Amino acid sequence: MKSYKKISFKAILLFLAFLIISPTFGQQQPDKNKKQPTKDQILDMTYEQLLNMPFEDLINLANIVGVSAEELLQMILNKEVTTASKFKETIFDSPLSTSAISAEEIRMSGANTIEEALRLIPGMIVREKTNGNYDVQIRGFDNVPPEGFEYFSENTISLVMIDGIPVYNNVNGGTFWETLPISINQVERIDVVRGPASALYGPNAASGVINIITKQSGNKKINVSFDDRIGNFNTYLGDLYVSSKLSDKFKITFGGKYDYRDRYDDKYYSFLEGNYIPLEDSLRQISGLKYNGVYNQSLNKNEARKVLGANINLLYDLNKDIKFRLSGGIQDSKIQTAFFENLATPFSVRLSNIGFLSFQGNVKNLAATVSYQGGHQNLSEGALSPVLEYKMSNINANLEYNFIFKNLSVRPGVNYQSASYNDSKYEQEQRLAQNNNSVSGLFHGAKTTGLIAGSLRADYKAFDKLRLIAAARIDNYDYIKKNSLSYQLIASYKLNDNNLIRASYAQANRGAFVGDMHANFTNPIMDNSVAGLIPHASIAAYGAYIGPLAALLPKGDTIVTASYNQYYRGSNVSNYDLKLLTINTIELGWRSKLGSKFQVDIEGFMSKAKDFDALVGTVVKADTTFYTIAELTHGVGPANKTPFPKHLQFEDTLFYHNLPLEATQYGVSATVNISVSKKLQFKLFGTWQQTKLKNQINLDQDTVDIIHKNTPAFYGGITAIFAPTPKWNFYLGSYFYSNQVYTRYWRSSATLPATTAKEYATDHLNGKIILDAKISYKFWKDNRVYIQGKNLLFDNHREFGFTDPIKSLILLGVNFNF
Amino acid sequence: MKELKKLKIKPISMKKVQLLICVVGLFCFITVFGQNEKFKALFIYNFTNYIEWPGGSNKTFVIAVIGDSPILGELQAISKIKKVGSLPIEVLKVNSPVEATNAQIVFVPGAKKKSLPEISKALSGKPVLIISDNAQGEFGINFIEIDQKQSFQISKLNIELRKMKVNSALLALGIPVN
Repeated sequence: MKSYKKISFKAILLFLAFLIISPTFGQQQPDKNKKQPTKDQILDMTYEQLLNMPFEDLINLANIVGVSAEELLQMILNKEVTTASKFKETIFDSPLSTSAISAEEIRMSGANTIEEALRLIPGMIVREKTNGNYDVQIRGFDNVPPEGFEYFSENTISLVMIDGIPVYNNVNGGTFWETLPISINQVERIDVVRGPASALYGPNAASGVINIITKQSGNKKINVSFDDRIGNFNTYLGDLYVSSKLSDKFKITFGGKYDYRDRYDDKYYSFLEGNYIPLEDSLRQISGLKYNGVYNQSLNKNEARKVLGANINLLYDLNKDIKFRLSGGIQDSKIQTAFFENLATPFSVRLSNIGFLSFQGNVKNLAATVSYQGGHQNLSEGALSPVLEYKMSNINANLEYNFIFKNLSVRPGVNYQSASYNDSKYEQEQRLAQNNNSVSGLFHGAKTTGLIAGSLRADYKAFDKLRLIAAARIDNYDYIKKNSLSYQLIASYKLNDNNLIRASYAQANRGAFVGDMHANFTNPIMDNSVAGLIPHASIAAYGAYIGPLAALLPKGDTIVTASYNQYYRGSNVSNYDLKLLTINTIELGWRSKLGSKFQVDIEGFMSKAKDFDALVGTVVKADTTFYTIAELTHGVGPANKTPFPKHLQFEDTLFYHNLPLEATQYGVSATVNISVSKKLQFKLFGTWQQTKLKNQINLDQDTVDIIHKNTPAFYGGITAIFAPTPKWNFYLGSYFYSNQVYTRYWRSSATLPATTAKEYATDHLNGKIILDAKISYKFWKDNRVYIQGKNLLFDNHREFGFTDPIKSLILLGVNFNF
Repeated sequence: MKELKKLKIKPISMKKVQLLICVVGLFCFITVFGQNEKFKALFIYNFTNYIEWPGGSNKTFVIAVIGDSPILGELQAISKIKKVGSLPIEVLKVNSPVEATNAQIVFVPGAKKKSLPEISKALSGKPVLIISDNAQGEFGINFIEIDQKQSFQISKLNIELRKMKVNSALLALGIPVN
């Protein structure tokens, strides 16, 4: 009886508890479980689907799609993102500095490439170098340290991924954007996380992450989308996306693209002339003559971009917990841009033929990815020495498991990466072709780098408002002695439904790349070239000092030849213990929905970067038994030197070494969205920043503290869409940035090292407002014709140091969807 | 600027550029989502499931739209897929209510809402469901936005005066008015 009473007492308690809780279950739980379709999903629905659903459901969908300003804010501004924390969450709830753009925004904006689309995202610095070829940076640290080669101005501290798979190159860690095999039409969304995120994603997520998410098929049995654009500067762009739902579980998608364009100008910047000059003259400035001849014959001075790409994806979703994806693709590209300079001009032609294959599997909380990327690349077509052509193969494998305990999720993971590069074949070919065994390739053989890493991430939600995230990752790199630690500590607190504050502290590092480790080549700046002519008058004057020996001197003018070899050595080649560039960032952020019509997102950040590496030169080693040209020409010099040699020999060596340089960046980014009604929207974003460099060793070997001026102090954008009827769409967008100063190293190749006159090249770049517009008309169903213009303020100033003037581009296009 | 001079295009000063950006910006931050018309058309089709028209010898179910409106295209798309009962849907663009006397539904777009009393009068006593958009007057159904969400007012009285019957489920989905 006693026990009965106990049981009944417990039962009553349980019943009462149930009564108290049941309204919560009855009212809220179903809402939580019932996943609302997104606007894009609804717009993808066919008339048949919409007409066959109950009226109540249709009313619900109508409310989501087109009416509520609150919904608009939710859907347009607070897209669901996955990149910030590997969970699906809205941008508003994202604990990091996160932005995203959707396929619809990309289409309406007229962005021709992924790089262009990134101009629609806060915190991105996107500067065009030649027609369609861009320099893309997140927040900055671009061209740090300044005064390096063009090659080092590339962004090598951001992680770019397609569907979570890294796509950076393993030569220097930069992204060769033209090699991405996917088309712009295939992009479902681009997520950008500003700030370090290596603990979550691995190497190179030091300044941020760009994750390009591709479409995974529509709801129709077959969807075809084709886009074709034609414009001035012989610009032809085409884009095809086909998806087919073969069954409820099996989908297949195909994407293809072509992108042909001419440069805006056919001249080349010549460092020696300090101006833009025709191709022939420019390349003649190279004393070594190694780039002439073949280079001139193969180089099309007008060509900016010739890109082809295709990919195919098989998606098998057994159920919501078990999903597999197999993807493969190929690309073929040739672009002319400023990248691997040749001392005369920053321009070079980059060729790539790359294929990829990847597998992604999700079984409940287990996520596995294996990807392969391999092919052939030439960083500077026509360069005879060094040979910059190689074969490569990269493997990336990742395994993660997400343990979920109530409000805590713990995600351990392991990652393996390997990169193999081999230039033996191309080095040998050039040795035979040039009949010169001293010709060397960039790596001088087969070289590899790789890493094994372990990571752990914990995400805890306390009482629905406070979220705490801690993540750490340890990378064990080949050829780097010390394991690298990256970590993130993040807290976000939802003051209420309309306000979220967040703070984070993170450390992340750049990866270790084949170029930094294994570069091992000779750059024959002068190879038995004419270095000067000694007039007979000088010889005669010299003869006056040496008395009877003067009889041995040449009787007429004497031609002197010289050889000057510059050796480049990676850290592993010179057995140097390289430390990886590390960035530490502290960030504070506030997001607020001020009523249903305004949303503000403000983030303040301070980043410190150290352990930069660069090619550091040794003192020029000259054969001192010979006179310098200056000594010879003036007929004076120490008597112990051989008088009037006919050949001079010089060499110097550049090593990959760490620098004492430290960079500190302070900045604020703000994004303001105003959605007055469904008819009125406003979006404006901008970033102000300042970067200070401490212990910068300039080319005069002085250690200085300077303000870094290559990153614009202010940059941002405005975008707007006007759709007066369902058939017409007008887009107006502006991307702007303030003045910059680009400084780089150059050594006049027409003068010998001992008499080098000038070693800097500086380009003062004006601030610019780039105004783009697009008018689109839907002539039948979902098919459109359009006209779009880029750079419509006709500001032809160049956007990057010593590259092309950027002119206006007008394109006519047609877009079919069926 | 040199290039601009060569092209004989007057260089634009930064102030003008800023002004241009502001003016164009303010003008263009108007975003209209045409999806509304699609959903209104879908709503109209759904209404036919809840309204009963008096029997007749019609071979088609006629939806007339007064004047030009983007909803015409949307209704035509639906007419190719669906029937009302066994009757194929015919969508007509009419300029005056006189042309719509054989219609079962007359849609009065927002741009024509001032003509609603006149249209209502012209169709007086006929079994025509008058659907208006954001209007006031003698409609059967009127699209409105409440808290910027799409909704509709429904007048049982006006519908029944025109000899049609309305299912009470529709009254529950909309906002009944008299």
